[in-house]
Amino acid sequence: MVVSLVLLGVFFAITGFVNSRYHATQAALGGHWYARGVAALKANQPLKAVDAFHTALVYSRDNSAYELQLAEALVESDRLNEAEVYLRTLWVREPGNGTVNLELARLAARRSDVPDAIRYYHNAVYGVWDSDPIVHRRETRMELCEFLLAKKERTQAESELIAIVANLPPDAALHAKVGGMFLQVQDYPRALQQFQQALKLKPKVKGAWAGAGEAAYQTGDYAEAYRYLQKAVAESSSDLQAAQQLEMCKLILSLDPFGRRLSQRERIRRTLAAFDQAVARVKQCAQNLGVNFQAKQPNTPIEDVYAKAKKMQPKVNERSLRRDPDLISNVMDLVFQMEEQAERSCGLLPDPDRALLMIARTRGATER
Amino acid sequence: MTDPASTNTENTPPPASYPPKGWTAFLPWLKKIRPPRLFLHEEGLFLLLAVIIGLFSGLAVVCFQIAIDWTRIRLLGSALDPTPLRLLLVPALAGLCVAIMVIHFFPQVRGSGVNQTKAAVYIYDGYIPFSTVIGKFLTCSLAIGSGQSLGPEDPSLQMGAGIASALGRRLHLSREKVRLIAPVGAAAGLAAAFNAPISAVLFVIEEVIGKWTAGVLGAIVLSAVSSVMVLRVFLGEQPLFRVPPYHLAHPAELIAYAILGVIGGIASLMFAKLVCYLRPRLKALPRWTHYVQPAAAGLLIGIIGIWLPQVMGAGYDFIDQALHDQFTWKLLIFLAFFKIIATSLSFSSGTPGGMFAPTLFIGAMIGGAVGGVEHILFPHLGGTVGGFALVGMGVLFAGFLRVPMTSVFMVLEVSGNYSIILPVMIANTIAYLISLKYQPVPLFDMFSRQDGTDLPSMEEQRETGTLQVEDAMRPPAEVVLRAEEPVAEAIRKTSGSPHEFFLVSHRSGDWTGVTKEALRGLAKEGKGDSPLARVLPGKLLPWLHPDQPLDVALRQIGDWPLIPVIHRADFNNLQGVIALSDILAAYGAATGKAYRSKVSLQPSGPQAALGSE
Repeated sequence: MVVSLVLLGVFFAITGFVNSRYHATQAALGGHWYARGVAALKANQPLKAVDAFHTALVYSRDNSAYELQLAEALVESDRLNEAEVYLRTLWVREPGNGTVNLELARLAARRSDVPDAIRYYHNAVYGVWDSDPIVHRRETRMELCEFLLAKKERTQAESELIAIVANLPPDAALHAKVGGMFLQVQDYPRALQQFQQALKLKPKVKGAWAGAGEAAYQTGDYAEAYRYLQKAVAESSSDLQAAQQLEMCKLILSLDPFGRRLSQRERIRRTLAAFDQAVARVKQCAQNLGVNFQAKQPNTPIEDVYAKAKKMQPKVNERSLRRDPDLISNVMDLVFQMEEQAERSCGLLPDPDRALLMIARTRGATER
Repeated sequence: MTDPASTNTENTPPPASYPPKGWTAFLPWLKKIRPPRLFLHEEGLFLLLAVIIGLFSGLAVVCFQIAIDWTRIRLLGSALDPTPLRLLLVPALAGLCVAIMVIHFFPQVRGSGVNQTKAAVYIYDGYIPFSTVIGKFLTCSLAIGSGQSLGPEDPSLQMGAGIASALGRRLHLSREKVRLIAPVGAAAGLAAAFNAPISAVLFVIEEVIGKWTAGVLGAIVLSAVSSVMVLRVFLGEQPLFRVPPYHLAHPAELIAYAILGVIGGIASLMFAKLVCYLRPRLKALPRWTHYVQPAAAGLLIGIIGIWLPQVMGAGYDFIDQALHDQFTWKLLIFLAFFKIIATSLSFSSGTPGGMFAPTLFIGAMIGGAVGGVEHILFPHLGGTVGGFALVGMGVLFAGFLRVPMTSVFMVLEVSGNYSIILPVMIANTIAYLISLKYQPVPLFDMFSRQDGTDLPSMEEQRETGTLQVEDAMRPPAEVVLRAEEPVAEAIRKTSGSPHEFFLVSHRSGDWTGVTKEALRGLAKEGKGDSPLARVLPGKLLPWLHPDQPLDVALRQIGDWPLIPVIHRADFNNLQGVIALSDILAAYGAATGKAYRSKVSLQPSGPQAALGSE
């Protein structure tokens, strides 16, 4: 028995020695094949990388880093199902791993599985990251926002964006990016805020002037929009959208009778011009529709607004408007009604009419 | 417990150079140390020894697995797909070396380790030469490492059994214990090879010893646990396979699993038939061909390996990949098919190695293929290919190796997922029944018959129904007397009966017996009015219940001409009677039937013509 125990001890020692050498060799081989896989991935040879990572895993089983790389290589090779199986295995082992959750979220996003993608993105946001957790979490949330925007889930995207803003570092490009996303979810005030923040940090940040201009334009602050858009166009003359918006801003600012710091005379002049413009537009629209204004009773909405205009026309002159400044509002209300009706009945409007309509909407929003 | 030669050395003075110098000189010195008089009798020693066997076996299996890996890396390179030149040369040349080693140095290592362990238990009083352990280690490392399509579990099992046998002999255990110790080592070896102690224990009980007795079970469990512990200390905690998460997505998936059971059963049959066909024929070829058979098998496998390197070696890494859905279903079918061919060639050529790993490989591939097809045809079911591959392993285990219990527990143990139990049970049962129906003789029994031995078949034991008392008893047509009846009444009742012996029922539920002659004697003595209970001698008859085994009846009947068979809940309710002649007649009928069935199952053709190896 004693001899057996001694032999057992000797056997243990020998096995321990052999085993340590074995593990060292295995680890070295695993590392070797892993490095080959990484190099193949960098050289855009995902199939080679898959083979290399498979081999690396033979020598270093349960190495999460290798498995993760293998999954990424499989994704690169468009073998999504296989990648997902590995990722799910990893997920079972480390359900809180940020990287694994992010990869699973991306796979779910690729197969348009919105609930799964959101779940894994959220897991990744709140998961464990080996390094730079704050940056990873923010980037993951940004990615989630982009996914939600692509899937037209604006409300969810907006709440994610609000969460991002809470922890945004002083980085102009980031603010501009977030501003752009706010534009996409049509949260224009927050978008403007982000662009303004970006411009404050770095006036030359790409797209920030145009973004700020658009955000201001959409909120109806055409004067501010004009200022930003001017800079945007000066910065990038090829930005057609900014140029168009700038033109529209110019037009709006030149037509708006409610603009600030306008003389009484100018205000009246603009009102009269707007009225004439709207009446002409309604007449043209009626002509296109074949409507006859000679009828005693108005039968269509366009006839109705025209009748109102006819009724008001005697009062619409410089003298009456000077005498009764409140009349300007009444006239402009009718102008807006005519333009809206014309748009509803005849579709797209020429620029001056569109400008009047936008003034109407901004004014309506302000009054509301 | 101690070496008998050392028992009277206690009083001899130590040698002049005490303690001796040089480590080799310590061995005789160590032998002379008298171990403390342990309070262990043989039962306790047996359990302690089981632990030591487990430790030794675990270490041996660790070294064995390292040796296989090391050989593979040295001979075939570290890549998963070796170069064609290596694929053609290495398995063939290694096969030649293995053949020389087997023929000239280790002739015992050829064949199934399971059967050799069984032979040790039932034929050689537990004796397995230690050279078998060394031979298995060397030849199997070389064969499996060079790419022969064989697995390390069967050799591990035999190495464990060999180590146990050597230790048992060294410690002068009784013959009965030495005979039992080989399965203890076998369980340890298999447990370490699978990293699955429950499956190993079940396998040894199901296939090697075939019975559950507390003493043996305890030793087997202890050895299996200690060997797995050693393995995990050295090679890590991870199971044999990394199993992806599984859940039964839809009950309709069970139909697909049932289909997997059918396909797996058919594949098991094909595999078993091919091995049983090839093995005796290759063995019957002239002796010189035995040198080249493993080399030829290696060459063919190398050729297959040029296109399908996955079929080479044990294939665990590729099982892992199949579990992770890394192959298309068409490739999986190819892999299963060529693995059957490669393994049949390797094993039948006499290359030492086991068939457990190839069985798992084939099962995983077939399972994965069925899963892949299901995924294409019924994507809404959402089943995972990994789940099918896992169940497939159990299916082949049940169908090919014919160990239904082990196959279920192995899948559970390997997956660590209880939710897979339903598919496993369904698929394994179907595969097992198909195999049972079309291949009546299990694989291991067939091997033993091909080798000219008749080892006890555990499946036969399981399948053969035990004779019960109800199979032999007669209906209680005889007159039954009541203990309260007077003697005269009893004489009147029995006078018309042709029988001599009558049962007497007591209110207490006891039974006694009386002969006609005894009744007449009592009447002559003037006790005709006395109740039987008062005048009969107090010796009670033994009784039986209909469901008891017939051998209990044989033990109970003694000299009694007849004993009652009574209801378990009403002892006065006589269900039948049984006499020695009835028991013998029942045994006679059963033996005749068994003999006829055995004769009909005897292998014919080359198998029958062959003697032992």
